[in-house]
Amino acid sequence: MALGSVAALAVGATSLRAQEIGERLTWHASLNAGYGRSSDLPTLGIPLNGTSDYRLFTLQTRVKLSEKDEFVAQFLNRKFGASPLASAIGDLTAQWAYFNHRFTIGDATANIKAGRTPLPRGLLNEVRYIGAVLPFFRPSMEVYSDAFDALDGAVVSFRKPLGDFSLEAHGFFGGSDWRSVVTTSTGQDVRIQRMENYYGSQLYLDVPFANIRLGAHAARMEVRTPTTKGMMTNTFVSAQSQFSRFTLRAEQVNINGFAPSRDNHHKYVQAIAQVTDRFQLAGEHTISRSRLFFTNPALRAVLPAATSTGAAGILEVAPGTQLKFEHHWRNGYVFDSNVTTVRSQIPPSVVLAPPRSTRYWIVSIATTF
Amino acid sequence: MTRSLYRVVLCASLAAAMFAPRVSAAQGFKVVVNPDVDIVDIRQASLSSLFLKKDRKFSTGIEAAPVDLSSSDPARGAFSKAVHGRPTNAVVKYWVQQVFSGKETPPLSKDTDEAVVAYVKSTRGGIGYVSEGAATPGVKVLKLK
Repeated sequence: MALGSVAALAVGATSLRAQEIGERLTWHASLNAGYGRSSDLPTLGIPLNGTSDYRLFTLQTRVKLSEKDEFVAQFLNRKFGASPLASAIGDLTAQWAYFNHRFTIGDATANIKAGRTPLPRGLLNEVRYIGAVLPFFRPSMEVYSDAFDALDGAVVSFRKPLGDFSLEAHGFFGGSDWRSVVTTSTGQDVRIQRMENYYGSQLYLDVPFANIRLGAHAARMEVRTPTTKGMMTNTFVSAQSQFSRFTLRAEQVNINGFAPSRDNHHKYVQAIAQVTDRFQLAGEHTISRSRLFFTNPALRAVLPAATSTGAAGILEVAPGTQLKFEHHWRNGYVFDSNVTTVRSQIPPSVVLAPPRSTRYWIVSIATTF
Repeated sequence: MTRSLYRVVLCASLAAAMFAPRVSAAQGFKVVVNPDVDIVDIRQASLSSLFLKKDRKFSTGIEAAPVDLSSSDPARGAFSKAVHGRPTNAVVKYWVQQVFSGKETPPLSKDTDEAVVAYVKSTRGGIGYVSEGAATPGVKVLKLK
């Protein structure tokens, strides 16, 4: 009898413990998987003969440690088709792993994240892999790059109501990675640059009509490669409005310094229309420009690195699950194969090679729970 | 070019302001709050901020504990449009974005009006909404300004 009572108590305690853990632990996952094919040149991992090795899967777990504290980890499985960058991407990585503490200062809510944290940068950086909230497979690659998807360091955030307006401010310090493909005389090299002493801030202002959100980001960082190092400045401005059945978004990033051969300016504008309750149409236009610098300071040129126009149809096949078909027209010099940029540089002029172009499409499914 | 891009967004946004949500008399829901919260009315923008967790406290200083109805409930549809100015699926998308940004998690969700009323009644700072004809014993109905 006594043994039975102890056993019953033990079972009770175990299920209570399980219940406690169940209440404190939450899981979220997202899948963004597609098939893509390009017409004339391989681009963004999409080859001419097509690829189904195109996927983003995230698994997030949150453990509530107390009313104000939580631990969050997000794991990422990423497949980037035939992109040269695929070799620099692990099959499964810890995208984030951080401790989050919430507190208040007057009427402002605040929190500090420490560890490997999301980096507030523009409107879509933290959700760049979450297809269910994006009109296309990914945010503009030119604007968001294959970089800045996490910050090893700390982010302090404040949100303060200003009447009907709301101000959100983030300050951060730490390090991050930048994966890029560099065209050289011998072909294409994948570079993973480490950025350290990376500091800056992101501000958002929410306006009380038409769900307008304005953003401004400025950051400075030290870029380190095995052979060089230097400082780089990164500025990012954003505007978004969601009204009636429409969403409009525009962003621009400027990257200056360090890379002695070029400054980069990338921007996009995007529009999404909710045609019916389950169907959306989206359009996007991206412009990427690089200012080239040469050994001879008399030589300067602006390279129209990439211009891309995309259109997408998005069908909600189940709550939280979307089927997308997107088509893009891409023109310029940035592709997954070697494209000549400068034909000749005879002072005082620089003659660019003719730009190349391709069209590509992606059909994908995106879901979350 | 950049200026023209932002001009397009700005002009469209200003035009959109004309379509900003207005809370009508026949709104299809009523807002309920725990009786200990010492307010009798609330502005639509403040209510939206509390439910989107942009603001965590009532004007009285009490921490808010919002509760939603499930996303398929017609009262939630009416609430989303009138208070947040967007359909429920856009609000659900907002929460997906928040969760996967490592920010907030959505408010608790209840399946029935009775469950919302019970939660609001028993929770300090509880605030929710129910369909217009629902019984609301033990909670206070707020007037929307």
